[in-house]
Amino acid sequence: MNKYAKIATDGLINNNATFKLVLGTCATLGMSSTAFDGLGMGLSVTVVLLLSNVIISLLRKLIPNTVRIPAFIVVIATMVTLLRMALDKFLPDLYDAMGVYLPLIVVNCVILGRAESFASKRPVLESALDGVSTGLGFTVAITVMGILREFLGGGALFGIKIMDFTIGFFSNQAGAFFVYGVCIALFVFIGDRIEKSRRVKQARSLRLPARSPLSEPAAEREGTDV
Amino acid sequence: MKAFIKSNAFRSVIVLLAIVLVSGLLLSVFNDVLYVSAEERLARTIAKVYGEQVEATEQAISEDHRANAYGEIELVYLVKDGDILIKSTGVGGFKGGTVTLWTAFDCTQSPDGKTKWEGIGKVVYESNIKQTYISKTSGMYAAFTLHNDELLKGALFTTDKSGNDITNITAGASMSSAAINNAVNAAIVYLRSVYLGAEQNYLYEDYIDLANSAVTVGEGKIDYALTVKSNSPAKQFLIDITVEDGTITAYEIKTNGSTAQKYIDRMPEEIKNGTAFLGKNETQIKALLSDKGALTPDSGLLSTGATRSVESCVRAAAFAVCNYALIFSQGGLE
Repeated sequence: MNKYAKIATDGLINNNATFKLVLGTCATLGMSSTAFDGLGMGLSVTVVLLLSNVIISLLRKLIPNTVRIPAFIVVIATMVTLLRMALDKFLPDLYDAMGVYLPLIVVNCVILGRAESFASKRPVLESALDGVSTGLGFTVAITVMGILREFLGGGALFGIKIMDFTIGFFSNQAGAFFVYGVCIALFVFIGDRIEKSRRVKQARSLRLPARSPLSEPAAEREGTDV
Repeated sequence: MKAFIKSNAFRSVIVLLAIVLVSGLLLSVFNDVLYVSAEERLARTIAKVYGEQVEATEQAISEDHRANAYGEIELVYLVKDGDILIKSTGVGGFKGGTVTLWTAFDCTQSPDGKTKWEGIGKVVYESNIKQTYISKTSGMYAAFTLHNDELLKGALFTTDKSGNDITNITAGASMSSAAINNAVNAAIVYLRSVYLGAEQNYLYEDYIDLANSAVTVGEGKIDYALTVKSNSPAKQFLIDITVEDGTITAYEIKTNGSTAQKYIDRMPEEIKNGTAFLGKNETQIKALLSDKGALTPDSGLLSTGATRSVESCVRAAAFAVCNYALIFSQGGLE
């Protein structure tokens, strides 16, 4: 796999910020009550991740190690503020729906974590790809949770009422934790199964050829006493 | 000095300052580019309410009616065909916060300038302070347009399920629901007072369910059996009060509207047994409440852990003692 494909799959699946690294939990639990809210939050985080990773990567050789965290936070906070202004101007409904969780993107561990562990050490293109893939991994995860909670808790999907039967538990915070835990368990289970079958395939492909000396019974080998 | 300038510490400070300055510059530029003006916000609201851009003429707000028990009026517009659009802020939210809404009233204006009200056309959310569960309440706004018959008979909106008012509440966000109801109620009270000519007769009338209260005027005294409206999350209180010569001489809570025994236990004993009010006159009771009917810091009753319940009790005392002279002269409630 080339390095860009590896960066992409790491961000989306292998190091998924929500289900694997368990980062950004506050935003995940707060904005996954409906699919639309989850999608909106996920895409907002993706935009901030992309912009902050690019800028921090561009400045990585200029920022001294001693002030790297405050510098990263200033950059991230600036990007979030720009995003807020843009949403208020062009997407006011999403801006209203996100409420207090929009400024809280500044303290989302996903963004600072990727800045610290990746963007501050890698070139711009790789950092941008990491930002997009990590953001999309976060978006898919939070949207899946939003779909589950909206369907089970409200009988709807993306605001469209589908059924009258609802379980109120899934609409509240306890339900959010429950769905989060179940999703993590499923993600790890499926990931383990895929990894196991990959290893079995790999082991089979290393099987020895039929006529090699070691494959013959010992008695048939010349000069060998059984 | 040279050594300091060449040091890592100096470089760190300079780099950080440079990042902050550039960020500040970027933000100020984009603030101008992406600025949303008040006219644009009004245009958005009108588009949300009416589905299209319509002409709206700002009206002067009557200062006497700007603030009422439910909140405050911020803007009033006269829109097409005589409709009235009011921006109001409702009090009583979570952590003392507020919710600001736009309420569109379906009205017609007669040639002689009189306003005829037909009901609420639409309610649109604007903003909030401290209401973290506001996103849960999105289903409430459509409900405001479904009770026009009751509104025209004088009802208001409440989170309480008892009483004659209209219940509108989101489970799990009752205090935000109260603020939302209060924002609409503030607009309704303003419309009734300023445009429909309905004046309130009594002080603190907004907190009392007069239809379910009784007043008996005797010799030099008035016996009240008051139903205090719900003060979310606290429900209705039923309180008997006797006022003689402008002073409270008896006070008994017949039904405590606190939602759980723990809140009843948190209420001060002197409030529960009424001794806090005995012997007090209008001036002393008024000092316990602000203009918006909330307990004042000087009242010493704010840190009880049952603020809403205590507030309801004080409001009942305020109604009883402050309207004593008027009700006595009338011989009862009108």
